Amino acid sequence: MEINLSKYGKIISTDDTSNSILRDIESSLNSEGPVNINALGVVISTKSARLIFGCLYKKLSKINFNSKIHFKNASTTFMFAVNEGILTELKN
Amino acid sequence: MIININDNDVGIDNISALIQKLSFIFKYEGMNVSGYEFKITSSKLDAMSALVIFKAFDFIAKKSCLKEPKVNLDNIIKLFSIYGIEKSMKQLINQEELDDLYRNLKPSKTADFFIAPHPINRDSFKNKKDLENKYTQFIADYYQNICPELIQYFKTCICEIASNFLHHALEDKHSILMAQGNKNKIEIVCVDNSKGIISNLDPDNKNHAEVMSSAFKRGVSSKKNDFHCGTGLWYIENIAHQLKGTFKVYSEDMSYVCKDGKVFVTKSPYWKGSIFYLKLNVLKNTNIDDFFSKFNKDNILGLFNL
Repeated sequence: MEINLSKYGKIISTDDTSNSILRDIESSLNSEGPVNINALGVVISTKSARLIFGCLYKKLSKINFNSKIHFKNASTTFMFAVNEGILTELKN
Repeated sequence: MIININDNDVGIDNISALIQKLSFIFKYEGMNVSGYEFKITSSKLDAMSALVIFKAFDFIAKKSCLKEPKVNLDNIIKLFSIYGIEKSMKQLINQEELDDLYRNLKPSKTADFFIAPHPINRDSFKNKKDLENKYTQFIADYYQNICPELIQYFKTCICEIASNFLHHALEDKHSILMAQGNKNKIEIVCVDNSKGIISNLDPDNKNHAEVMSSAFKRGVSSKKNDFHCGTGLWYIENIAHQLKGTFKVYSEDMSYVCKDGKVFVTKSPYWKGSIFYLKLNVLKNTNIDDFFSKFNKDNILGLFNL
């Protein structure tokens, strides 16, 4: 299963888009195997990263998140935002 | 009263002087004071000064500060035409409605230089295609053959600055972000007349230097309960540092200047809202990826990046 983030926009920064992506990822979690998040050419704000991946990580826990969610073609800045979003969400 | 703005008041290093000359307008909100004349006689205008003057006139018009201020329109139109905002400026001076003009801002480029103004408001962000096609994709295309490895950082800075203004500048729906650049550098400017950093972060703290400094620390945000991370300003400052750039922020009565690896937090003439200026250099040999990758590796999350 693969979710191509660029279909939501090359810049992900609004709450509406973030919530829409979160919903789509959550509805894919029941599929077999991991969900590949293809982030080719996509930039994400730290707030959106927290809304999507922070919430998901907290909900699934570390083991389940890392077995189900795999990032693909993610740039350094994309992964930095995701790490920051998750770490912030875990602290709050 | 004549307000003279000349070459000594414009330019990246003279922004405090420019704010000093314009700061009086914030005391005149709703007062319609008559008898003011603006003479802008500078020979040229940088993007930061242009947007500061532009937003000052925006505030004068919206908040009825001055009654029919006189201006030397011909020179103003000439100076602002470089940035494609001369029509908006004329309408501001005539105190007309601006919504449509903000929507019509568009990027332009010559062989070795581009200028891209863009409004930052909820409408422009909802229209993702507009933001991408008109703006970040335009900038990505420009740098594709110059420094493809740095495009993600340029886009990230635009994204974080725009996101910051979008989520914090609730009182001013007409923030403008402008990027300009060439093969050696990119400059990003954003100005608004909303609530500033001090009032957002810690309005009761009298030590404004302390509040301003804390805004640039990783993990400090006034909106942590609203899913913000408090990373934005720290992130931009560190990208600027890695690319040997400059990051200047003027907000209310404070300024935060990060240049050549040094930080200066000082009192500034009052500006209602915030002014951001970011310059990033196009460097061929940089450790920027290593710097940020380290944060991704040095934690317990164990994320899986294929």
